[in-house]
Amino acid sequence: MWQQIRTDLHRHRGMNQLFAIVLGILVAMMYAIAALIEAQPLLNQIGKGSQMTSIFPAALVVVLVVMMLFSVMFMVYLNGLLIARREREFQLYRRLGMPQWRLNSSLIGETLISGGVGLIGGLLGGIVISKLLAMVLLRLVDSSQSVGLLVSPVAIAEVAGVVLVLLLALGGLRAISASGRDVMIKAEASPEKAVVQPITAKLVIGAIGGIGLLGWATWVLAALFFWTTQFVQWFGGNAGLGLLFVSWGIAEVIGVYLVYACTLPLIIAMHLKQQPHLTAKHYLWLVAMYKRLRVNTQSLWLTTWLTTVTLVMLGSAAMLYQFGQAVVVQDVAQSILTTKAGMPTVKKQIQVGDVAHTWELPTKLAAGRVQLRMRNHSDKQENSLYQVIALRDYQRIRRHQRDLPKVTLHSHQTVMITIGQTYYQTKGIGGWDNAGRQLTLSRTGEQLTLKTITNVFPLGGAGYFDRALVVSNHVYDHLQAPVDQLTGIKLKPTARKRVESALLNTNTVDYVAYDHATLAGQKPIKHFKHATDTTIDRDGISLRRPALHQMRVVFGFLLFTMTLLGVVFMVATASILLLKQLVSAHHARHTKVTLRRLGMPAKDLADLQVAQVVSVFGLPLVLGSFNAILGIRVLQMALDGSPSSSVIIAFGAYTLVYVGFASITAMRLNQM
Amino acid sequence: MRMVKVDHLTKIYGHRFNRVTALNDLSFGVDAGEFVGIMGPSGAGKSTLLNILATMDTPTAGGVWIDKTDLSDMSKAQSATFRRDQLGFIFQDFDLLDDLPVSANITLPLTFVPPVPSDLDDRLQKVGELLGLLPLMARYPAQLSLGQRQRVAAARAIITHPRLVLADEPTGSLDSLAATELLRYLAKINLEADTTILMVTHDAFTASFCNRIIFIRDGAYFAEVTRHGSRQDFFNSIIDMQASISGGRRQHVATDPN
Ligand SMILES: Nc1ncnc2c1ncn2[C@@H]1O[C@H](COP(=O)(O)OP(=O)(O)OP(=O)(O)O)[C@@H](O)[C@H]1O
Ligand SMILES: [Mg+2]
Repeated sequence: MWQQIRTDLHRHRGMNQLFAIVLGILVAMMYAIAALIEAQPLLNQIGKGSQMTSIFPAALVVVLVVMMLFSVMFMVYLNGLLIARREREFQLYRRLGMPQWRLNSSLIGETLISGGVGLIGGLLGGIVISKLLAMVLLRLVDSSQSVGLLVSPVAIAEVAGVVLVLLLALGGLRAISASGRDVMIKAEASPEKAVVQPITAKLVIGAIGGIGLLGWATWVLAALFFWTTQFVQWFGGNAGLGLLFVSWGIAEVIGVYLVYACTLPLIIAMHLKQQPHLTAKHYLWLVAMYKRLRVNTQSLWLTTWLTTVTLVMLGSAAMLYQFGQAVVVQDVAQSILTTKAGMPTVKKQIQVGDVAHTWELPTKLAAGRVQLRMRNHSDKQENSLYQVIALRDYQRIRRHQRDLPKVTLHSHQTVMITIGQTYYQTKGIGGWDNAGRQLTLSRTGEQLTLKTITNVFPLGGAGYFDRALVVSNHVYDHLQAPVDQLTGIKLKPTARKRVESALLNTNTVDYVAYDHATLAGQKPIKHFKHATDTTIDRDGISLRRPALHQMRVVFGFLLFTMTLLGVVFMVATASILLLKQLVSAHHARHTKVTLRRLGMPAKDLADLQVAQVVSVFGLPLVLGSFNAILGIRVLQMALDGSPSSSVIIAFGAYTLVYVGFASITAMRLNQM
Repeated sequence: MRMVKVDHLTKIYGHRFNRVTALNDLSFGVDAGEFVGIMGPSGAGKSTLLNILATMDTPTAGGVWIDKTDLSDMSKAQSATFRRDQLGFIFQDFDLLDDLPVSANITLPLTFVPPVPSDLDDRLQKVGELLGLLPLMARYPAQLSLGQRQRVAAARAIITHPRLVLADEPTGSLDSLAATELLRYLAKINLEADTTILMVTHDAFTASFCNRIIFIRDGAYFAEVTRHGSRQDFFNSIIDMQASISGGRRQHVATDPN
């Protein structure tokens, strides 16, 4: 029996290696996370100052559970693929009359041995990468602590326990699939699916269906607002939204499948029909792709989804990370942004020589009335509170705050600044440029013409109750309204830490009346010491760096966990593709030899092989990225048009690793 | 003109403790326009010889010249060009591509290097008719009988109008009618297009279509028989020679009695 296990291990070493390596990587990732969870002091340190100490371990536990579930499911799937390759062998054993129990025990033994190697290797690797991961995590969350290797017996026991149970189950599954194989000779599977068929109605319907479904799903994402409105109109509020979500999901899932199973094959078949005299290189590539699409539809589909999910996770986490920073920067443009009420406190902490630069920004508080058009194309009369800024002050601040848009004004023109994206985003479906609308300052009756609407506030949004208006100097000077003074302070690097930590725990809040009468201009604007039902507030002192740090901790942690999951998904994707590629390699080798014998130029042969690998790996990547980009775009819109350079970096990193896998595959195939 | 010259050709497979001498100091020549049969017992080295002639295997010692070119001087690319342009090979195990329909299998060698010939369809039609493949054009190799596959392999070898055809038991799986058709065609292109043909066969009837038969045994030249008179007489002398090759007598030159 040992003999049997040994020969099997040797004979199927390619498969056992793949099994062990994939398991090893998954184990390493799981261990690293489990060890992080156990490393309480480290997590406490990371969470410090962000009121999230207890959330981090909990979030990591969730990630670990997700990863374990996925790993288990994936290993079962991989196991099935691997074992299916040995069907012939089992059939032979049974024909030769090998007793079932012997086959079973040798299969289980084989699984335990190759899996055990993966487990041990994975644990060792996990200990190594745990340090790496901890370092990455600390870096992402902006901490300068140092870490060593994380060796945790508890984590080892947890992971080993799960994996051992898994291995026993996999061995059992192998035994089950090896039994009950028919001893009788079956008719050779007809080549129907694998070879280019005459175009059937079924194929055409599937092809059109695939394009239609995927097209519609794409349209929904591109015009989300339009479709939600439609569905809400047709089916009512929550039912409509739920239905839209469900039908979108179904359309995506089936659409991608049909594109692989029907649309692309149909395109190939039609191309072949139209162009009967292709060169061999081109023709053989198309035929091979047709076969791949038809035979490996499921794995292409699965890898496409894995790619989509991975990219959405990575991309959105990266975007949120960047978004978090951008939000803070937009909110507080300099080191400190303080109002008049906060000023005394700030002054108390600042010593001579701490300040690099100070900006004073006087604003006047006034109620205003304007009719604006919304995305659903209905007009809305809006009364709100504006902090009015003179053009000269705006220009002065803009010299140091580069993200402020350029503004030029005629005497009675004005530029509105608001965070309501409906108004400043004039593009896209339902977008409406409100330029030219009349804005009335209710109390003085001053009439202004809206020139444009932006969302960047001078000195940062944190200093504003609601909206701001930039007006000409003349209008500003003649406006009768209470002055609200804002101050931006840039600290010298040496003073930052001291001043910031001193100011961090102060709590000054400004309140201002926001009731109907005030907004309509019937009452003068009034400040309050405390909140009431009809007040609106803002922080008296806003600090940039501590806010940035907090954002980094939260979103850095998110990015970290998403990257971990992303790696696991990626390993899954690559191993499925690699496996499929190797399975077909045997057949491909015969083809290659024949073509060489017939005198096909060696370069063309090599090109053909590369083209096949590129297409098989490229298709899921392209379709998956396409899906992911749409998904991320929705998030981006929800986030107010967040910057997306980090998404490109995340996609780039993913693509790079992915291409690496493809090249390894191509190289292995070339050696065969 | 000498088309093929085989000079002291030796091929040894394996190394040290596990050597098989497939060809042993074999020499002979074939003139342009000849239709030569190669016969000999199983394992005599016939396929090995053909593979070396087709630049798909390399000799251990000795040399092969085709059309005055030493095959050992050819680069990989040159030998690929040679196989593509000059040679038609009917493989013993057919070597068809399972994923391509019969028609594409046959025309494949014509499409390796652009431009694809404009008379592709005409050529396909012609060989298809000749080898009775027209009704099978849209089928796939897995759906064919062995004999049908062999005819596809033959069609693929001759569609390029090669100057030299190497055939490894091209009629092994054919019934006598189909075999006769193929052999008649080979004889025809041999006569009309001056195609030189080397054909390995076990079968005396098949061999009787040739002008000359070279017998090899244990990788070495054994004898040869040249046709002078009727096919029946030639057939009889082939049978005699086959008897003597298995009887073990070694003859250097044998001509048929007429
Ligand atoms: N690749 C190889 N490696 C080792 N030995 C080989 C190889 N190819 C052929 N041989 C050996 O060389 C000898 C000649 O083989 P070859 O295939 O040329 O015989 P053949 O005359 O074509 O036989 P048959 O009529 O059965 O086709 C045989 O003994 C065979 O076992
Ligand atoms: Mg042979």
